[in-house]
Amino acid sequence: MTIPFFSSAATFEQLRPAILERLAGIIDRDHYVDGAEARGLERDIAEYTGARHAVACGSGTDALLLLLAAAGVGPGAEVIVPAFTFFASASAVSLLGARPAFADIEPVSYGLDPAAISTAITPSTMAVMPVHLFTQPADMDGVTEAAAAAGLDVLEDSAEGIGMRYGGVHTGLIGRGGVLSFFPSKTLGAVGDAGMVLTDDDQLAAGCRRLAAVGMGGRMDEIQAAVLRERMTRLDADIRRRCALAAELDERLAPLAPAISTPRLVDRRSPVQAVYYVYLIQTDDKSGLVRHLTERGIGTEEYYPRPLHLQPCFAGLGYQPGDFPVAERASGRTVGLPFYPDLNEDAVDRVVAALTGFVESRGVS
Amino acid sequence: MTDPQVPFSSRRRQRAREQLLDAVLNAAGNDRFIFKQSVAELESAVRGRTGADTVVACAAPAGGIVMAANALGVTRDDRVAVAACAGPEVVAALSMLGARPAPVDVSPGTGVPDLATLRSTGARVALVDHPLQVAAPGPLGGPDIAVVHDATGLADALFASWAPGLWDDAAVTGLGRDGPLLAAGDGALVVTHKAPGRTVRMLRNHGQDGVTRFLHHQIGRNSRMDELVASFAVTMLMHADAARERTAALAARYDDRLDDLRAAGVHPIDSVGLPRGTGYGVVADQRDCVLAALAKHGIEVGPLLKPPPWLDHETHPGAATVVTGGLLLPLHPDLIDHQLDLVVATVLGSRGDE
Repeated sequence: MTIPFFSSAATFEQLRPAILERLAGIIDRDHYVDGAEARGLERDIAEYTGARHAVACGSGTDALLLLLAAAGVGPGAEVIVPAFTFFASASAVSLLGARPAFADIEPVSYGLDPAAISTAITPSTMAVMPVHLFTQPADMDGVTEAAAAAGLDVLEDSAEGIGMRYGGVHTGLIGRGGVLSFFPSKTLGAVGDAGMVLTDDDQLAAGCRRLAAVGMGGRMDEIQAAVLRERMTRLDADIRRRCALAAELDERLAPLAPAISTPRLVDRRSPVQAVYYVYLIQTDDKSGLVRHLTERGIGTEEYYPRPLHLQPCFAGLGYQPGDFPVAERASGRTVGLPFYPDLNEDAVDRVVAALTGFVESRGVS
Repeated sequence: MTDPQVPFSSRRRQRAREQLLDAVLNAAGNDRFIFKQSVAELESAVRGRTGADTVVACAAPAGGIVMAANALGVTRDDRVAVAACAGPEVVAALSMLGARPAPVDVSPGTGVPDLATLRSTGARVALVDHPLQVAAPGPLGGPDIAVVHDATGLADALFASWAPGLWDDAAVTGLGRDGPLLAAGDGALVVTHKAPGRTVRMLRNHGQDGVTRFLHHQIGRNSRMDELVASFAVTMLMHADAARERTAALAARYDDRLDDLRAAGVHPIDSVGLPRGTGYGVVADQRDCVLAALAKHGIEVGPLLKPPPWLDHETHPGAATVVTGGLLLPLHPDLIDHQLDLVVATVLGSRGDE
């Protein structure tokens, strides 16, 4: 029996009666897009995160487009983006006619390295976009200081950041604004695409709503909003389960170091609340490990096999291999393991056994 | 609020409660969220009905129009020919493209521009919508201008006439409340030829080729149709024949009253022998009177066209006529004959209310 990289079917089954009740309301209203459930989700998320404004839209990518466009990003502007992150962090900049200016990351948190910001600044730089990846926020003390010193906006790609806090503030609300993605595998996931902009900035929020009203950025489907509202009722429990699962994996995989490196949390100047969205390990023989796990029916995901500055679509920006060594090294070593609240103990045992077998079979330790 | 005497839309979707719940439960219960079996089935079903080389499911009509335009070579700052009365999807697509509109007038008898008018702009690509819910009388493009149609609401016409080239280089049809493609959320289908189709397929999922994840060949978008939306749409598509036949019979009943309607200053748009879309499109000389009379009798109409920023009433008299006089009368399979007769009688009687 396979262990998929992600599954939420068991959770959905538990929430099914409540979800069906919401679906009945949608059917009765015969209104399937951007309606009562989407408005309700905006209120729920605003309350959970402490945001003054939450603007629902079709996906995390759409949320980035709205956020950046409302902040004035457009032709002639540059936005500093980490070289190791999901594609949409940079493509949203390009799709608005602006230029992503890549910068290197920190090796442990995978977040934008504040020390790399200054070298990426040009007279066209308008904003810095830190990304809160996998487990913990980026170094927001460092990022905000570097941005402030240069008079730049901080626009957060907090797509993975639901539940993550930095200095007591929810990610997405530390800078001028941020986003959430509710892609199904996310910590708070829908059953299709959905996203949201978060901000305390009234002007930015108004801009996002204006742009959404004229069709930029897709709309949130009511069914997705309904599912998310029910999933929110167990969000904190899911986050606790994820933390417990991570702690168990940390302990059981520790003997496999240094062949397998497990995620580590970085101490910051401000207190940080981490959330394990993805359990990302590192290994020298990434492709060998993925093959080994696949043969044993264990799903994986490679986040991310090629850094953004080396993507074919960004070839015109003039970057070369070696420009961002930490990002390039991470791309060659990172593997996401199956990791979600529905993962049972038997599956965890199998994953640990498979990893142990991999390390032992190569005679490394 | 009481129900209207004659609603604009049918209750087909509400009656499909079990199919909708099945679509959601199957998707969520089996972890089938995006780009699984149902999207492929829907694309295949529409390919079969149109005879097109390529059908690409995506998140929404505006995004589909953008990707089709990109596939035909439109980039930021390009001039793109559009109707002076273009609707919201084309307006949104232009904004997303970062392109500049080259507005042209339309024929008030069809609601669309003609080829000569489009070519006069010098633009290489035109985005054409169909505000009065009928197909164009013929292909609008040529060797020097490619055309992307917003065919939202016109799926039946598209199925019947893609092959003869009436839809030029690409047609984007959105899922809706009526018609053969029912919506459980936002979604659209780009119907096109092989070469642009390959590009659209890549662009809809962040420029990936569908083989190697996280390798981005183009700066693509996130414009994906959810599995549950595709699942519901393909289920309902398989049972759309009776609805289409009933709607065609109702359209014919309106057509039988053509002379009376014209005499009353309400001019039906010629459907060129093809199925009409969502609503029976007319242009009324005294639309306000007609609207007031219809409202008084509890008869709903389709959303009125909002003029885009570039409409100039003097330069674009045809488009101005469509915007100020265009109207969609109820046309859906739940209508019973006497309701349609009431609509016609009310429209004819509105002349006396001047």
